[in-house]
Amino acid sequence: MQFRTLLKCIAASVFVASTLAVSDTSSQPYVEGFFNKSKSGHTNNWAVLVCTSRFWFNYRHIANTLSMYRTVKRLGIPDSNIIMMLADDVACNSRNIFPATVYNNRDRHLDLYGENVEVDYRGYEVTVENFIRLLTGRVAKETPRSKRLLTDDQSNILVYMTGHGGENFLKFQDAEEISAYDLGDAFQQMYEKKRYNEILFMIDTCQANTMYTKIHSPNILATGSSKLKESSYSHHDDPDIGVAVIDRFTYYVLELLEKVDMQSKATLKDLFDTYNYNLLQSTAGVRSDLFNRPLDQVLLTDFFGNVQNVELTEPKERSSSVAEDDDMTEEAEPTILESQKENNSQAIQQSQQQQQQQPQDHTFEIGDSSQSQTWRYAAFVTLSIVLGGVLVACSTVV
Amino acid sequence: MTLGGIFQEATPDWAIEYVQSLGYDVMSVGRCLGEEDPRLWYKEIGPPADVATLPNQARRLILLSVWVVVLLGLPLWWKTTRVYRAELPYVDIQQWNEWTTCQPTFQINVNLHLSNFIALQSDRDAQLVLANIKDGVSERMGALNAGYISKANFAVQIDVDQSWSGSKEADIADRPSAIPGTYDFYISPSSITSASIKSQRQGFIQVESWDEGRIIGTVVETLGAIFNTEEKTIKQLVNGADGVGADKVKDQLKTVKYAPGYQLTFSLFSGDASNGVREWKVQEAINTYLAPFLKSMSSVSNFIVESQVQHYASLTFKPQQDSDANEYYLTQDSLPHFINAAEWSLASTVTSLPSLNFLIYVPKPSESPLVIKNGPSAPKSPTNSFLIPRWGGITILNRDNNTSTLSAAVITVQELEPIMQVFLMQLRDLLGLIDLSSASARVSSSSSFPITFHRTLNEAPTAWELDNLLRRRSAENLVDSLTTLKSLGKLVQETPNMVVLDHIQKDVVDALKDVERSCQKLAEQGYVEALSASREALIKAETAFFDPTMVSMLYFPDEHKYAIYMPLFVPVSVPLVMAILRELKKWKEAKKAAAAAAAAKAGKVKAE
Repeated sequence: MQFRTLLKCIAASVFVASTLAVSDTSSQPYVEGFFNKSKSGHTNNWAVLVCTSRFWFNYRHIANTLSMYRTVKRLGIPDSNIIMMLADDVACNSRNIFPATVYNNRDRHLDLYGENVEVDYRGYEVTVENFIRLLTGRVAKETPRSKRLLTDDQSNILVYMTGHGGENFLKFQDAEEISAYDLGDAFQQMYEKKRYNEILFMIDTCQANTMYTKIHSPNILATGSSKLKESSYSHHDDPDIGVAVIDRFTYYVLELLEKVDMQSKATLKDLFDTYNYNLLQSTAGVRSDLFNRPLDQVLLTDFFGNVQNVELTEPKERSSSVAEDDDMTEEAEPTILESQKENNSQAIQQSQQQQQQQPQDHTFEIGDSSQSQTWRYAAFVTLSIVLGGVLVACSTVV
Repeated sequence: MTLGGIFQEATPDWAIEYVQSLGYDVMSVGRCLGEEDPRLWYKEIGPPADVATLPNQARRLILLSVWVVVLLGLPLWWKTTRVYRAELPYVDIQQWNEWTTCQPTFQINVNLHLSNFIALQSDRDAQLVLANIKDGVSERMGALNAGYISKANFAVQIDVDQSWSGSKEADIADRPSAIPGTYDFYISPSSITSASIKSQRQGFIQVESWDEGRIIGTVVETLGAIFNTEEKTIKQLVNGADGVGADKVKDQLKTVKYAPGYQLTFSLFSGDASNGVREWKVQEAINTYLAPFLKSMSSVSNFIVESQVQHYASLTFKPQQDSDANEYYLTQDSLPHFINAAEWSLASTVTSLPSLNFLIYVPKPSESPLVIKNGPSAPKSPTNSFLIPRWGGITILNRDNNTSTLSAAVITVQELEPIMQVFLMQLRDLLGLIDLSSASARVSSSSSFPITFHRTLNEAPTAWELDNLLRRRSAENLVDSLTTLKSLGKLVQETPNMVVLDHIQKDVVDALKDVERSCQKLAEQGYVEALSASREALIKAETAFFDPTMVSMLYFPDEHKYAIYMPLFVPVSVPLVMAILRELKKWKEAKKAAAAAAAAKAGKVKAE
């Protein structure tokens, strides 16, 4: 209790000090600039959301991507600044018993496909080449605006990828793969041409953390769902749809993002702190050595939203005023964090209970791993023995 | 024919039947073979010759011919599998980036016209005094930003004469200089010191005491107020001091990147149909208030203007209510979320030009009047509008409910006027026009005398501002195109697998030529040509950089190459190499045998 009052005192004094500071700075002319608020120095936000897998049983990857799409759109990134690549159209798949819908939860409250989804690259357009071209800007002349990443040196970009992957690669369409080197090179070229201010690279696949090891350009923050030799798992399936509907990593990222709105001051550190092996069943990783801001100062809305600094226009004298508005919300911050923590711990408890009830019931394999290899060998051996036996029996009969 | 090798005893019946089934007559076939009895055919066909039994020469010839083919094929294979790479002028690019080829010099001519109304307070020769003023001003102007080392420099050329017959501001000749970068100052004695900068390339300076030192001081201070900020910005730009994150200059954050053209989108968003707004006279308003501005800006960039109206445009949040003032308000915190990105269609798909948006929002009656203020009792924003950096401007228009029904449906030109003024201000900010009055107020607040900056009557940018923009954008384009070329060179050198086609090389070389032309034109004071050349350079450099062919092969390390070539080349090369080895061995043996035979013969001869 004493601790809480102490906190309150500190908060109050911070508030007073900051209001004093405001009154002080507002008397200063122009020069300091209202952009101090945005520590990242970006003025626009972009999102590149990529689902690389086809086929019905990869429903969850499409759902992952659409969930991210919905979130960034909700947080204010306009469709014109979202490039979505979906390798398959499960909404219109004949196996979908809920036609024209995509759900990411068993309760099916939220139709991700909705009324207003803009897929920029779909089906066979989702290729490694198109992805690299999109990032580096080397698209054909006739490419429409919606398929171009028209970023500049003040763009913060969220790159989200999901699919089947392995060590240093991510499969596209079951036909080709992008390697960690390709990705690193593409980012480097973006850096060379000043095509970004900061990038948050997020990937949900098996051995995802290997995908960001080859990035070498500054101001890129990367996070992945699982470390080397580790699989990423799906979260749960929907018995009616018949397949898993979302992956664990994305599920828990979204769980936090759902609590974030445009005014939120939650930071990336809050997100990374929620990573929990017991929930994800994989070791989610963060790579921040290329990033030069402390993570507890990077707002989630710096990447997932489109919160811009505005400048009030003053009449006639063309000198503009300074908009200092970051101090007002400082007080509210701790409460947000607190509630998050509570929620998170609740979520942990819940899911632990869930796990106890149904141990490992809904775990699906996402990509190659040693376990699946042994399983495959065993299946192969049994199958060949059976087939061989049949063959021998048939030949003796003949 | 290996028949003989297989059927040693007799030609089997099925073979004969087969020949018959093919439709041949057994007898005639037999005659051809020289043995009419088909059962004896096998005798006619002898066993195949063994390579080992071939004469040495023939065998070696065969081996040699195979190897010749392989060796001839190697260079062909090398040539056909090599990626085509046109040579880029790396050295030139490097030199240009260090500005060793040409240093950008911004030539500025300042003509000082002294009033001949009163002779100068000096006992020296008038010509000498004028020369002194010239030297004094030049020297002090040069020293002004000398502390700031840069490859770029401002060459201020001063000319002084005392031929002006007037003494008042109204006496200034009505023919302002038409050349960007050439400015006329008219200086006269007066009771107070002051400067007045006209909208065209003219200035009027009044000096308190009519002597040499005072004139020099006043002129330098005035020129400093005009050029100081700009010079610093350009020097910084050319030095490549491009800060990241918080280090960025504020104006740089606000101003859009240079493009040859922009698309201006004027949108009217109406919150609800019940506010009665149906149309707006935007075309007339733009023609009246913005056209002169856009027209004079067209020497820098072109503009495409379009407009749209959208009804039922709701906000994503409810504005707060101030029941005391009977109005609704938005705090500055909520302004970034004002745009309902999910539902308002603002993105244009017509062109690929960068677009700037100007948005008028008419709130619905249940939420109006809607103002911007920080709290219930805080003062509200007088313009009720705000600017989003690099994006555009937004104005909230509260309409008077008492107006007649006709004008309620139509937003008239008169109503749009103040808004257009605000948009114009915002557009100036976005396009990077630096307002000299505010810029100089920021830097030299210590100015010892008042300097007034005049505006054009039709709100077009003044000649000073336009020249400033021409110089700054030229410098920016030069720097941008050179860094693009540098990155391109680096990219090509780092990816040896990448194909570099001839048109890339051509673009790069042409871009460098344009850079050079631009740099020369700057020194010759041809600002407009310099800008257009730098624009060409930038376009070419970016075309080369973003060329669709410039995507290299995906990550393709040497191991992959081995994996591709091994399955073909190893099986082929093993018999070839083995044959050579065997042949060598044989040849050695034969030689040894020959030597031994010779020795034996010699021994025999000796023995005999």
